Amino acid sequence: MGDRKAFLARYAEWTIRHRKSVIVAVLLVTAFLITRLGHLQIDSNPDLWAPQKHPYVVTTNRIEKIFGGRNVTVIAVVPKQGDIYQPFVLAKIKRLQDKIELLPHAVRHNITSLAANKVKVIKGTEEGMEVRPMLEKVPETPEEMEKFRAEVGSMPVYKNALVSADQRAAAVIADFKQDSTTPNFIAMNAGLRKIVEEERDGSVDIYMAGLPIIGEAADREFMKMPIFFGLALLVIMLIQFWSFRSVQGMILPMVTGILSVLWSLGLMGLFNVHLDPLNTTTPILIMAIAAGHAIQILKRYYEEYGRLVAQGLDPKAANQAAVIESMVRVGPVMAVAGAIAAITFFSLAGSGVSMVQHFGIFAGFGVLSALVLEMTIIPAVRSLLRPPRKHETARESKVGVLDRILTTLANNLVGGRAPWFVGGGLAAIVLIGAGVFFLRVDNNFRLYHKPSSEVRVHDKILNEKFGGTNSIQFLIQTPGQDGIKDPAVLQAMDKLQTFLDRQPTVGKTQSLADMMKRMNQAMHADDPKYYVIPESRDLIAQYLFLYSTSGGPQDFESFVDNDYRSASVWVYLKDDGTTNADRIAKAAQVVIRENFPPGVTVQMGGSLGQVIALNDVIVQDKTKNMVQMAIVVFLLGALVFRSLVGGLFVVIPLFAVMLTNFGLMGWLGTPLDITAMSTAAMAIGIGADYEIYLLFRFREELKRTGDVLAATRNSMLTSGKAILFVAISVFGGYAVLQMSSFAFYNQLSNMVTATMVISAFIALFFLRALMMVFKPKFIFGEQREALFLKARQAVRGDV
Amino acid sequence: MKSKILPALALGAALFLPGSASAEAPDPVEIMTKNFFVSKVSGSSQTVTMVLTTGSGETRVRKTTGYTKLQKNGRDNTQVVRFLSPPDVKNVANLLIQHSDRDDDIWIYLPALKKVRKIVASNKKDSFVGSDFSYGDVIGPKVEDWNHKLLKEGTVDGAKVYIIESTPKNEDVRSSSGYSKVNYAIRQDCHATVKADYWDLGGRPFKTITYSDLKEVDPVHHKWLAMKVQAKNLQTQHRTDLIFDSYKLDPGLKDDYFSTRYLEKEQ
Repeated sequence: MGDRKAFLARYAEWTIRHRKSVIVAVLLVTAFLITRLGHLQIDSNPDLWAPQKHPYVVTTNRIEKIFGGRNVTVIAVVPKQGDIYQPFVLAKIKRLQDKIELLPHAVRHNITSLAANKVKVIKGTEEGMEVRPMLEKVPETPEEMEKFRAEVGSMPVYKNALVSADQRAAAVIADFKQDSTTPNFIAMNAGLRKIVEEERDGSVDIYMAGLPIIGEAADREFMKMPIFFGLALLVIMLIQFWSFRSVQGMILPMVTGILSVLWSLGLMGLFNVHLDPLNTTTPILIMAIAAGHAIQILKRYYEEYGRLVAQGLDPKAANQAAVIESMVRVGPVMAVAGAIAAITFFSLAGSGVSMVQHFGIFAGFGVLSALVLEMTIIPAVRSLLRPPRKHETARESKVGVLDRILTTLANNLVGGRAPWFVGGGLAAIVLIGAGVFFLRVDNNFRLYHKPSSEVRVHDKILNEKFGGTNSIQFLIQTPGQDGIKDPAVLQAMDKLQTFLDRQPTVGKTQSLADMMKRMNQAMHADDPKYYVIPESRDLIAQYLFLYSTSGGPQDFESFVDNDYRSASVWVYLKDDGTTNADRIAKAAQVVIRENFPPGVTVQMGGSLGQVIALNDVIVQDKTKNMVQMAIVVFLLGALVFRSLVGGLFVVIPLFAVMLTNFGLMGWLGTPLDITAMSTAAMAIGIGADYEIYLLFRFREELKRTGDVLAATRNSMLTSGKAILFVAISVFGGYAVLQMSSFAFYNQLSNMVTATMVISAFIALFFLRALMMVFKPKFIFGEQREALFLKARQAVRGDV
Repeated sequence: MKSKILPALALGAALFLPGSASAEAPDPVEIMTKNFFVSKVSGSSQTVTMVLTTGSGETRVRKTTGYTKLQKNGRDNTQVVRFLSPPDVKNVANLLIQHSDRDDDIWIYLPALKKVRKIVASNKKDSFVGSDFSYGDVIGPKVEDWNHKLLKEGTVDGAKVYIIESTPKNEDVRSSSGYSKVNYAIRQDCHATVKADYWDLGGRPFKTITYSDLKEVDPVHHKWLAMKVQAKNLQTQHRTDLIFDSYKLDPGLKDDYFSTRYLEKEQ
């Protein structure tokens, strides 16, 4: 211990002696890291959140590779009066179709509507079969219109997909590619928006839904982040000013905070770690944690400075001595706390979800940057600045409301109320924690937007009108070329669809089987008896061939691959709950096992499938992470305090904060999602920080004074007060997000607030009381009973 | 017009090419007119292999045998095509009667159903039997529907060519062909097309058709056909190769061959 102190003192002196070089060096590093910012890559696609190794995601990726359909957007045209069978409505659909096809990023053969070339009417005639594009020309006369209506009605495969059941809405389904020229959904949708705006007028409503639309709205919100970051900065500065009552005290922690953010972004650019829009709030977190450490060290500086001046040192000498003293005293604690937080964050790099990986690395770099900065440039600058004036230190140390509250708390803790606090705290934790039983895991990106937002309103209307905006897909793979032409396979697909269609939330299913049945019927003069899969494989092959002589080669592209080796069954659901989708998927397994011939595999994927995958991974990852982080924190804590009980003390807040956090989410009905994963990591990082700072300070004070009450009061008024400021700063920084109209930010802000309140409560009340009740040896030593007796008497005399 | 693949092209048919070169002041409309007729053979029988290759290199092979006969108007073909392979479509046969002024008549015989069915299909920009050729490519656009401009003269594979840019005269032609522009490379000596580049309605490069192994299949009337034709979609990288395994000039084919009854005669 002594060696370490001596080493740290020598290091601190060296830093102050070479402060100008230190400052220049840090600025050079900063400049270099700023140049790396340009290399930072921003991802904006579903791969970010989809766990790539989960079977549902593997299937989804394969489906997308074979059939396309990654960025599906549904555009619905709803006339204000009447149904869609009016020339002006159909003309709009046709124009939308034609213009969208020409957009540079459009996946042309996946643009589908009544006006799409690949959307055909298959009609049985006396002589044979007629296959024509459904809407080659907009019907003009009432007779033509009636004929058209009948033709659309004859193709059940399009009902609820391209035309609503009530015939009051028609849809254009578009699909877009993403590349470097479409860094985000706003850029991707720009062309589409323009086309849609041209068609909007008094006669129709046009609604849009789909992942790109949800993503676009989110991107718009993410772009407002600099405003919120600026506001958060302002709020945190105000809180610092309130805390330190001086401009220097306000600015210095912000320098650490802002530089930490810049450094961690630069480091990400340097190590080629990507960033994503869901991480736009992470800079606030880094700033808050960095400022938290800065506050601990700066508070200590003021304390030491005041003490040294009182001892008669001149301000200049006292300034330097206080800088050294605060580094020596707080440096190791900060290193331990920071290391634990950084390790916790970095452990997220092993997550199966890119967005969580990015978060872990980003936050981990941020914490490390803060440590380095606090041990280099900040003391160097601090020693260069003029020492605080008398009135500044006086103001800083003035006894305020917080001090009075903390003193009362300390008195009560030592004065015998500790068991009550433990009991009450335990009861509260259990009560809040019981909410865990109501906790559900659900990631729904729609819910990131408020119910009144355009995205949600449009999505709701489209869900009512059509089969559903949520999809799962079954990928059917056969062992060889043309395997899909086997009647047994097509019949099994048909049975699977029949089963799925009976599920209450399923609005629509589609596959090659629908087309095959329709062709068979058409070739038998439209006799409904023949709306079945033909029994002969050759006939199936010949129908398909026949179709190809009049349809296009890409007409069936969303249903079957070029080789007829793989096919897909599309299932649209009106309900976006993953629990329900998962149940349907599991029930379908029975139908699949009973009907598909041996050698044929059927796997599930699709947009909802990916979300189910994400939920699975969150639960698994979460449990794994929790255990892994708990072990790391426990071991580091035990090492630092040279005591297993010490390790326990550091790890308790982790569990308590997580439990109450999740419990609160359970009670409030907030689902556990990827946001929660990030806040949980933050709770662990910051919760452990608090405990380490407090324990170290308490031990130091106890050693110095030999007085439990004094040690409690002193540690509360120094580290404890700093903890409150950190908590208030983080809370204040995140509170500005409440001003956003983006539900994702509001939710994040709520969760951070809850985390801050709970972790401060646990650090200041619960664990302190626990400490008084159990009197662990690693803190109080062998003489603990005697110490406490003395303390209690002192309180009685005092209070 | 362009030599497009003749109507039934592949499935049967013939490709094109033309006749004798004329001369000095090259009038693009005259070049295109000669080009149109250079491939109109009075009658032929042939076997053709069609190879479809996806962008990722998977292939599908179809073999056909068939006959063509030029109708009295000298522009429209009648053709019959029978599939030899793959096995599941063996003996599928189709009869196509082109009508330059209205929808074509198509009959198809499905052996699994033992029935001949009439098919109605009209979309010129649709794919021709699942290939990278459109019906319009196969039938050949009407010279008078397009504006033609001689861009330059050049050489392709050692042969002197005219490069002619054709653009649709009106919106109908544009939307029914699916092309906003086509550049043809036409041999100066025989007026056969050797290469055609297509742009889609958005002005993006769309596909390229190359004609190789040109043969004067009817020296008397100076009719030329390419024995190998490849269409490549530049957007999907999908391509179709048509290879004439055998080709015989056969002006005297009986009309019986071009009947639905003939379709039912499985081989």
